[in-house]
Amino acid sequence: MALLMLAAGGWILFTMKIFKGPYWSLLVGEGTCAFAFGASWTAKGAEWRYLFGGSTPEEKTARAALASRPT
Amino acid sequence: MGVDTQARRPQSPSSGREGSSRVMRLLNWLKEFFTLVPAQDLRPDPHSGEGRYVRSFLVMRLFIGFIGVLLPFALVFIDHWWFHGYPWPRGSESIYYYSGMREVFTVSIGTIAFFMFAYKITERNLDNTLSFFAGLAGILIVLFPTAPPALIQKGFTTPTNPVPPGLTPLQKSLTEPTTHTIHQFTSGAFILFLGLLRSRSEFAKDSARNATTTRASDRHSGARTTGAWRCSCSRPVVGSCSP
Repeated sequence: MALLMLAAGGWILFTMKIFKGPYWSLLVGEGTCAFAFGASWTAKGAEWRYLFGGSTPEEKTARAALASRPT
Repeated sequence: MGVDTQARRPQSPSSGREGSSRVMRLLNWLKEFFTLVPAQDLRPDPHSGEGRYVRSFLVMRLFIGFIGVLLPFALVFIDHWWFHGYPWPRGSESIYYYSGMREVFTVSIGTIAFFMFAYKITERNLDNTLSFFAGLAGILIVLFPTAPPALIQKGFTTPTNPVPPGLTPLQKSLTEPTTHTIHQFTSGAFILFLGLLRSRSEFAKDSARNATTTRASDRHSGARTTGAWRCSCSRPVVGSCSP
């Protein structure tokens, strides 16, 4: 996604400064950036198990180990 | 002519040392804002008080992602189908400020911006620096609108729909080219900082994965430590930023 954002940024600069693209070039570049940003954050935030209050057995074990450790 | 001998007197060695230590302290403090975030720890129990805060935060992050994904499509298609905006599509996302989608545009960018601004505000690391400036740039994007479109845009014969309204009080006060320049500059900065934040996050994810793999192989070779165990157990959540 970072690469997509980079490509979109490059597209914006290219079509604005070097090669005059169609009038909607900037819209495509900005839209791609926004989409890539949103997709990456959605993917990052979509931890459904944790969001709905679940944990993996490994996480439960680790938490139990941490709790039992003397402070 | 009076000479301020007090100001020109050379500094004593002790005051010089004090000054340089103050500068060093300042540099060290600033350096913290450019350090990478260490691999995160195990998340708290989702049903605990802490866990509920983390989950709320994750939900917010998810919504920010949804807004980012939906915004470009919403602007282009709702403006066309619902408000019969013309021309279709418009030249940029910012120009939708002068369409029926003005509120959607400003609220969406403002929401993303405010979230980014506060995302890691209590931390001192590169993530906070990047997200803080991305948020600041995003807030300025909506405060300083782009230039209104022409009544009949270049390359078109039909008037723009809706007819561009008059300038906002801010545009009148600062002049429209000034607000347009600020808008362009902050839009570029917004994209740049979001891109850098994303790149840094992906870089951190790769580093954390490598570190975890190394620790896991250490564990298999009998070199298990408490730290390594904790890291390997938190593997499913390593790489995603925690609050």
